[in-house]
Amino acid sequence: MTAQYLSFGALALVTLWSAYKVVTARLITHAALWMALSFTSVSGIFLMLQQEFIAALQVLIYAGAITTMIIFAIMLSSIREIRVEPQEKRSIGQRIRASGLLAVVVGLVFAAFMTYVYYVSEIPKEAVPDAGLLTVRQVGATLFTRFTVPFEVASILLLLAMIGAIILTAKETE
Amino acid sequence: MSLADLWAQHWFRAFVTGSLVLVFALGNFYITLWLERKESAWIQNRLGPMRAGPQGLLQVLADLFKLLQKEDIVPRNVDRILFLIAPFIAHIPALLIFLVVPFGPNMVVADYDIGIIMIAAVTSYAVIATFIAGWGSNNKYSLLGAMRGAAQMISYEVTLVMSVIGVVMMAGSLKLSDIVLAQAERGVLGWYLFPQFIGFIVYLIASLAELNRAPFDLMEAESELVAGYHTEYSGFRFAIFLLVEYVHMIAWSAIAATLFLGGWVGPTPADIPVIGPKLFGWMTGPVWDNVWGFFWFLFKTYLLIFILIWIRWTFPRVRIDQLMDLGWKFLLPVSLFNIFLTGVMKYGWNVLAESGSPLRWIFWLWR
Repeated sequence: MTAQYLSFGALALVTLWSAYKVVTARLITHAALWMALSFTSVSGIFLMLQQEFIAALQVLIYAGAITTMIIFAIMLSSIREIRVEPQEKRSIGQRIRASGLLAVVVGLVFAAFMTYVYYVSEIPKEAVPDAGLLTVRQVGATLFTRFTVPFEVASILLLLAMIGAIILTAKETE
Repeated sequence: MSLADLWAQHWFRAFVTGSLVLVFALGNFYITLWLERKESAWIQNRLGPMRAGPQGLLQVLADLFKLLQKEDIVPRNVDRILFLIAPFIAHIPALLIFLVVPFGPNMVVADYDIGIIMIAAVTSYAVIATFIAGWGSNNKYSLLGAMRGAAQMISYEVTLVMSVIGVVMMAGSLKLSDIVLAQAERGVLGWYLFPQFIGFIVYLIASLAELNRAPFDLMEAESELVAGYHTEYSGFRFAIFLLVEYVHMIAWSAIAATLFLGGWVGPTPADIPVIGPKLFGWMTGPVWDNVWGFFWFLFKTYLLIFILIWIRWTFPRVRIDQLMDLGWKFLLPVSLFNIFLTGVMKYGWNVLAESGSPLRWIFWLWR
């Protein structure tokens, strides 16, 4: 049991620290890589819950596809470094923004809200017997029986996004 | 505490099996590197390394020691931490793939139900590692090589997974050991190579591209990009990139052997008719099953490694636009067609298997 808590604590620490670094990293590429680390440790937490399928999907989609896409966006947009230039004169609005007061307030409100949700909601004491291990077979069967229409709608949405991306990026060749 | 008690402990088993996988990967890296040198020499009508040890067997050791002795140069303007950790991150996916590969009956480190999805998932770290190496080097050629490599790897990853789906449909499982057992049940030469021949060819080409080996080694095309993403690396960090390339090659060959060539399934001397049971009857039992299973697994893996090396030293490098056209406009549609074909043929066999119609033999291969 202690080993479980220890490994969960380590994974949670890595997740939080890398999420913090995503926001504060000076280079945008570093932010993308910290994000990949954050996603990876979240998939570690899924593995601890013995949900291998979701862990693999987390790695495949988030750490793999999305991070790669962000890296491509960075490389294609030729932004190498974002420098924050120190300014001499600042208006009050800028000073408030720079002080990070807003971030603290929003953070506190969010933490309070999450704590409230945590206390109000009922956590099931025992595992639901039906839930069990989520297998690929179950997911596939549910996708193609109960959720056929949402699945197809999502497919069409992705197709539209793909066509839109091609139209937006294709250069007009004469 | 006896050894059996210790074996029941998860941490101990994980430690031992993980170490064995590491030893397996490193040992086969050695042999594969030697094989590459010798095979390239044979193809080019040379002898290859002959001086160090019999048939140059110690040449790889000498090379590795040479690389180990070299100064570990970190250029001044690199992104230091990323530059230093990139080879080790590149190492992760290559070794993780071996976790789900069945080396023999019951010889698998972590028999996940989602074996193939896990392989596809961990492969994505290879792209990130390539990018880290290319970006961290702060070098135009490195970055160009890394960008090419990332584009190439994500394009061919799609094709690679699509080519394997046919096998998954035939076996009805994503678990690699189940796929091997399903092939064993199909009897003599029941390998998925025959019904999934299109899938096998597509897998072979896509895995070559995924490995960045010639004819698809565009990310380290020495005539254009010096050495691509590892231009700035020297000494042992360079050796680790070399190691990663070969361990990846072994891993992809092992997976191809498992999915298409029946994995560890193969005849033993005890299966020889008439004289077999009499002479080699003592070669049965769980231990001998494992030994012969491992032997056949290694044999099939090395057959595929041999073919991969053969291709590398035979074909010239393709251009980047040809590579992308091949991946997206030819291999992907072909692998989608293979999925369609497998579905139709499997359905046909399911419908006609019980009937006496002679038409059913068309679908027999997809039984």
